[in-house]
Amino acid sequence: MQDDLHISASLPAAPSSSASTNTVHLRALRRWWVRPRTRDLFIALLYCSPALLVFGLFTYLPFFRAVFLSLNVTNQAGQAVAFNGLAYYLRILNLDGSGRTEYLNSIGTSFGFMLMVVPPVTVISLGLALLSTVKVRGIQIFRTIFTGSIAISLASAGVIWSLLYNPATKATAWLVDLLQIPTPSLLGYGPAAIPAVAAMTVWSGIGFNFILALAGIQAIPHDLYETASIDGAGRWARFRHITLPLLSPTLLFLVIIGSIGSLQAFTQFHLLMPDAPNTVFVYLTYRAFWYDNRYGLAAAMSIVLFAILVALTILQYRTLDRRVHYH
Amino acid sequence: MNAYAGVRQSRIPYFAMVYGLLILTSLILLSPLLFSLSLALQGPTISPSLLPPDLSKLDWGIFLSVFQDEPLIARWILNSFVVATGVTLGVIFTSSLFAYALAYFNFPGKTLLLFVALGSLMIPFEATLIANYLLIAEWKWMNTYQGLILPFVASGFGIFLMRQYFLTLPRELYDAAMVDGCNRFRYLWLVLVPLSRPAIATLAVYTFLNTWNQFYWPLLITNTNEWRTTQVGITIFRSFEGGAVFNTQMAATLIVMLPTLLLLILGQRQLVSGLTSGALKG
Amino acid sequence: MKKATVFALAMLLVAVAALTFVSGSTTALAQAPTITPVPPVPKPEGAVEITFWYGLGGNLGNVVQEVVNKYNSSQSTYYVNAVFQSSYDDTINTINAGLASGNLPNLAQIFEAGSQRMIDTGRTIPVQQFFERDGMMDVIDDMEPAVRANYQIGGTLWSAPFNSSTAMLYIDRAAAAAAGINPDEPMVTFDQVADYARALTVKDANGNTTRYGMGIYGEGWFLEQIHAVHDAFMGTPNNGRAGERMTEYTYNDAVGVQWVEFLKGLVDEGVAVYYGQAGAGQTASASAFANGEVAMHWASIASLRGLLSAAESAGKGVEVGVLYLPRNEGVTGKTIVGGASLWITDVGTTDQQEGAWDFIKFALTPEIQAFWSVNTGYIPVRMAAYEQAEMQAGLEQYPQFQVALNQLRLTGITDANTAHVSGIFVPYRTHYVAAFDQYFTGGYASAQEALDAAVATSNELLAEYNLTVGG
Repeated sequence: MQDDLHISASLPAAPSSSASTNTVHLRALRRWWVRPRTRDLFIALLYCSPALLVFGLFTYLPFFRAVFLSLNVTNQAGQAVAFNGLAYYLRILNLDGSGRTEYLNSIGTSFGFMLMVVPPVTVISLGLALLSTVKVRGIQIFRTIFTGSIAISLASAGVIWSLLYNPATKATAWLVDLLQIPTPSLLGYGPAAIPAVAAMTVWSGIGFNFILALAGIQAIPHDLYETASIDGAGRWARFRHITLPLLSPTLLFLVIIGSIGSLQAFTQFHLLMPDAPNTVFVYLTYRAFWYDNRYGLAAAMSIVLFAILVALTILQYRTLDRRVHYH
Repeated sequence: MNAYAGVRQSRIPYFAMVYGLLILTSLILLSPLLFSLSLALQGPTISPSLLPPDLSKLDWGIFLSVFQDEPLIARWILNSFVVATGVTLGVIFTSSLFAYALAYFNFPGKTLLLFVALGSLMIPFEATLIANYLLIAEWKWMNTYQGLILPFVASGFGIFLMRQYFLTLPRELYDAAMVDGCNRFRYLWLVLVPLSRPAIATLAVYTFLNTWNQFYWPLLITNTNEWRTTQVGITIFRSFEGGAVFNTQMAATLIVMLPTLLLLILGQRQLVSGLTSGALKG
Repeated sequence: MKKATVFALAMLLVAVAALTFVSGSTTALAQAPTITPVPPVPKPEGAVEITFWYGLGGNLGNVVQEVVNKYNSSQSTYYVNAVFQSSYDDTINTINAGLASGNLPNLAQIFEAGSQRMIDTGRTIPVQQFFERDGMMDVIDDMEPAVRANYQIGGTLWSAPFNSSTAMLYIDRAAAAAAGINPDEPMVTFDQVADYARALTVKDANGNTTRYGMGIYGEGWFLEQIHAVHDAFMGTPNNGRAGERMTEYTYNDAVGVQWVEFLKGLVDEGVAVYYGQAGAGQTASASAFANGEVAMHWASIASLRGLLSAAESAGKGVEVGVLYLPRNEGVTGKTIVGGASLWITDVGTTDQQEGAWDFIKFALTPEIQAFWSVNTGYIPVRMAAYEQAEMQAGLEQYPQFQVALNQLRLTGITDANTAHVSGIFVPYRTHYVAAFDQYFTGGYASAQEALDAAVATSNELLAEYNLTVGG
């Protein structure tokens, strides 16, 4: 820890010293440099550089290569062998006139899945967080339990839930009977499968969402509630006018991360419904990539998904950030 | 219902209701784990019951036999531990620096930088896996910890999380410190980091688990038994044709879960328990 | 909060203590037919290391490690380092990923679905070269014909057969006897099996079905088997086996449509139950069979021991028997084998390639083949293995195994009754299973429509694959 401090502490010093040598020689530069926004820009870039380096090397560089691959047919070693133009994109978006919409449908399935995951997990976690602010003995044990799923990897959760849904274990037979599903497994029947995977994803996400919501609630200053109580505000009014607005940065974060996460969800589909015909877009991408070895198509699909996620995030950010209350 | 409503309540029905609700929700949330424990203890069968049919014949030995069957599992857990810890420390370091710049500095292109960070979250792993593999292979980093760790030490998620958290902290504190001539980095290290312990702890747990969770990267980047991580290693306990047995699979899953559950229980104090409420009043 | 930590730690300690305490007394419970893996033997000084990737997990994987151990202890020139690659799919995909950088094993166990892709890597050495060079063609001649044919593509034996099995229709003999069915006559027609399913379906007083005649799940392997039985191609030309690359899938033919309609008809009639796609559907159907909830079940002969022990532990009186795959009246065709083979790559030194070959020679000895078959339930590659006492005892213990062998030897080998070869073998199965599943859950109006859609998708992909290999 001490070492970390030491090494890093020398970092911010670097630009100012190099800047000061420059100023000796160039007045103009000095004037430019002392403009706080420019100086902040350089210092900011310095602070950002470790992450930017890693992003550049391991995310954006390969991503640009993927853009190139998406315009080509590749062989099984992943090398481009024939230029394909925009054919893959046209195929995915059903602009090639073939009338085949399986990729567009799966994008729809992805959004449906997102809607089945993000609102429930956010609301349930918020509810649990509020519940666990009560001051009773042993509340810490319950908090640990509510947080529990954070410690269970999606892979482990997927294995457990795949057996929960497996008719061999009879664990969900009652639900199959209740919903009158024609197959013995929820996962075997299209309309029930995606909600079943969503339920598992909600369970898996509660721990993380709960802990953030709880931390957010606890960061809200006590006196606000006290003042409000004196002013005669009821529970609901306090929740509506204090908790919710002050928690909004956290909730914005949870919604954005949850949306991106659920649109990118693949582990649970891999474990729960690997061969299902109607599946989410990311899983089709994974199949194109890992089983079909169509790296060009998979790259094009990745880029389509990337575009969707960017658009969605900008939209969410624009609409929600305005309503978010920052200190 | 809300945060501090309980303080003044002391009626017994109220407590009964609260406990009832707490216990009920806990049981629902724990049921998948109890289910997996139940399957693990039922011996090798492809038609297990929901609960063990005979409580006197629980096969606790299954946990030992998983270790006996696969002595390397301890090494795999160690590998996962080293890798997850390395990635976690790296992510906390790079994310705090990045988020600090985003939240506190005033410079052009701030939104662009935020989106560069967020954008990294939106690129599916299929798009980058092969290229990164080739890079690591070229650097001769196959079967090394750095090959397993380095590509993941920056996280758009971490940056966004830390930024959102920093933004909830009072800005006046920063302005006052700057007026007092406090060095920017010292402010980050001495003020922000301690104040952000819940966020950092959350990021740590999240990153640690996500890394612990990885499958395809370690599968590609390691090709000897000793260098496998747990998630790759335990696939050996999956059933194959002819032998669909759930008990070893469940036992192995539970064993792999244990270190992270332990971490959670020990880190719980850091995670919540009112760390910020006091500090923020200042 | 501190209390909670202490409490949790205490719980853990108790759990660990209980675990170590009880474990001694309960080992009797774990009596599955398993081989406890011996840890790898240490590498001798100066031995040439052979990297071997394999994709069989569970108990079967333990037997692979056991064979490797036997080899490593038998000599000290070479040392085989066996690395489990998580699954068949992940094994070949890890090889793909390593093609560009040359990170390949010396020896790899690859499922037959990957044969064409392995050839197309251009990084393999056909094992036939080694057999010819060492004058060991008699070993090839001694191979089970159906098994040998599977890995002879365009007249060359590319890889050494290792684990092979074939598909069976399992039947509960006890239930069959009660329903007046003779389970000792394995040759059955579609109509007979439909009658069996009706006779084996049991309803209670309220009209609820307590036992279905048959459990069904979507699986491409059975489509291939039914085509082989009826001597029909899965694709042209010649299942891709006659030296020319397959250019088109044709499994939407009469045989394919009849097969899917046959199964769907049984479900519609209420005498069979659909358990979903391969994987979970297979496990569910197997479990129901062992529990006496369905009386017939489709599975590999390699599943025999698993089903036997499951039926025994379920204690519902199910007796495991096997029938041939059903067929049309007068058809006497054989089934195909599925499984995996050993491929030698051209990476590394000549010494390593020789080492890989040396291990294959060892694995194909009658002794090892008998050991392998008896402990896994796979079919021995070598006919000579049946002369081993171990193997004979195994056949005596499992008479069902002989039925599988008979089915495999019903007729001579043709290209149509040998597994097809294509670069998109794995994806084609996904397309088929998806269409099958959609038909069973109401997505298509007929089997023809479902299979037409699947074939169209398969052929689009196949054309693209063939383009990438310049074919």
